[in-house]
Amino acid sequence: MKGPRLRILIPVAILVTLLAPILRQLPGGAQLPDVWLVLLLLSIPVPAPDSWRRSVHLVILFGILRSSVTAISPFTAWAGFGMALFVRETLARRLSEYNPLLRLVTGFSAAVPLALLDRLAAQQLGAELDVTDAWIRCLCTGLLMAFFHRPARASFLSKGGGR
Amino acid sequence: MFLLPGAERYRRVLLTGAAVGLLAVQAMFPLPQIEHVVSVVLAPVQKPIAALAGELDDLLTGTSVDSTGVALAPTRSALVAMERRLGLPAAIPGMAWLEVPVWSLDLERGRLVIAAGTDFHLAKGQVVAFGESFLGRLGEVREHAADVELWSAAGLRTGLAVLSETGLPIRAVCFGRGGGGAAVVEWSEDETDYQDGQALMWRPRPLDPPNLEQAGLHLGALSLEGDPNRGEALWVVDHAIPAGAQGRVFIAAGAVGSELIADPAERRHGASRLLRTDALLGSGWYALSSSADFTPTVVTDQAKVSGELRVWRSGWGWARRLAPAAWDEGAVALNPDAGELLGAKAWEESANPLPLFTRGGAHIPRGLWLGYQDEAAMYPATSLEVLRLDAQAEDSR
Repeated sequence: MKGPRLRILIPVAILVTLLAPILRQLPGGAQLPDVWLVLLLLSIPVPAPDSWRRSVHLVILFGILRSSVTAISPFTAWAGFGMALFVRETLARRLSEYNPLLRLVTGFSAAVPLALLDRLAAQQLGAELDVTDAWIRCLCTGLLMAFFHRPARASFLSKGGGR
Repeated sequence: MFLLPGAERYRRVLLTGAAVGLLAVQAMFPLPQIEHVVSVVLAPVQKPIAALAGELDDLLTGTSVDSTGVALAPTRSALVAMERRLGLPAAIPGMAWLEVPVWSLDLERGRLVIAAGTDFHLAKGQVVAFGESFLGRLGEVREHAADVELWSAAGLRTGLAVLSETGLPIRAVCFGRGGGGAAVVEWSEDETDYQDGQALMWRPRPLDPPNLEQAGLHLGALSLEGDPNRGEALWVVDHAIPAGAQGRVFIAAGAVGSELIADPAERRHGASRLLRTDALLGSGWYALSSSADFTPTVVTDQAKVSGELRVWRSGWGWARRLAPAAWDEGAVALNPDAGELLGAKAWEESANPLPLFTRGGAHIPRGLWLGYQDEAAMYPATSLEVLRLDAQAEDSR
């Protein structure tokens, strides 16, 4: 299955970036999931395509966009996104993509490394990210992954799928 | 369709895993040089995005900036004036007191770094004081900075005189234990007259200018440490560094240049707010941009500190909004009624909210107006100013 076209994905990512600070100010905004991570997980299919070029480009782009509106370093975003894709890929190869509960577990697990790195980066800056908020962010990511079902890549149906 | 052989896939997984691992290491243990290079490369993209997000935020939320109370703020010179009033020791015939701001304080090593050196004609061994308190002597003197070796530093011996009931001074020597702790009275002419709380006067060395004794400098008060019944008791010198001495000290000099006051270089530049909220850390952080050719450390809004700059990315950065009381050890309070300066521990216990100023150090100027103790963190206006207390690189050890 092919991922969304870049000409749609990039404007959406930029729009999400511009709105992210406003969303964070809303009541309960601290518990909202990381929008770039959600977008990344939704735009890259599982199992991973043969070519990882698109995934790498999206990780770099989303990391740059994310660090434009936060004090946290882009390295945290890049490392967190990379780990999230690794975790999801590892779990998705073992767990069914057709079970919402398992998709929730996969999404939740994929969000954990980024949440941990964010917390560490915040501590280094002298700020404190609430642990409960971090867990709720991971849970929300998992819920979104469970809700937005992306079927496994039917590579036998399309040539060069996922590019 | 081309399927990767297992070996090729494993190679790719390994390489990508290593790359992600390296990124994670950089994220956990950031190397400033790498961060700087990346921030320079990304600044042309990130700065406009942050500015656009800020404009959208202002447009949709339309929050106005409250700047009330700024006009009534005590000026920075109020703190300086108080420090001068409290810190200038008694006049000594034939000598002058040079006023030098303090760059940093390292209590663990028993050292103050002051913002003047050979450029201000300072020399090793000169006596340093604040008010009636003897602080120590100048150690290493560099071009634009000098070290003050506090008399309580580990291993330093200082002569003192205990005022006995008969009025005759008892000569003694104390031995510093460092770490800001009490020095031990190591040798004494006579310990029989010692009492808890007795005042201890500083005693000059034989080769010091004789007039220095007239300054009447104190070391602290005598105190008994340990249990005398078990033979473990020690007479120690109970003391504390005055809060004002963390801002400026006075150095005795027999010969002076044209200036009696040394002023550290302070750099300022205009700045503008980009974004009021951090998308991950929340509203306690804000982004700002400035074309300053230095890395700022603090942001002010109409002469009042608006935030501490924690991240600087080549022309723009992120500052943290802090309530005045949240500066904690980084703030000193001015008590105008009692005419005293208070350190963090003292002002935290105060019943009435006191005006707070920056304590200074770590490239943050001293005496910037923070606000009253009970005030909340202020929202930054659109026009700001960034500052940095400058120093020669070789001096900021």
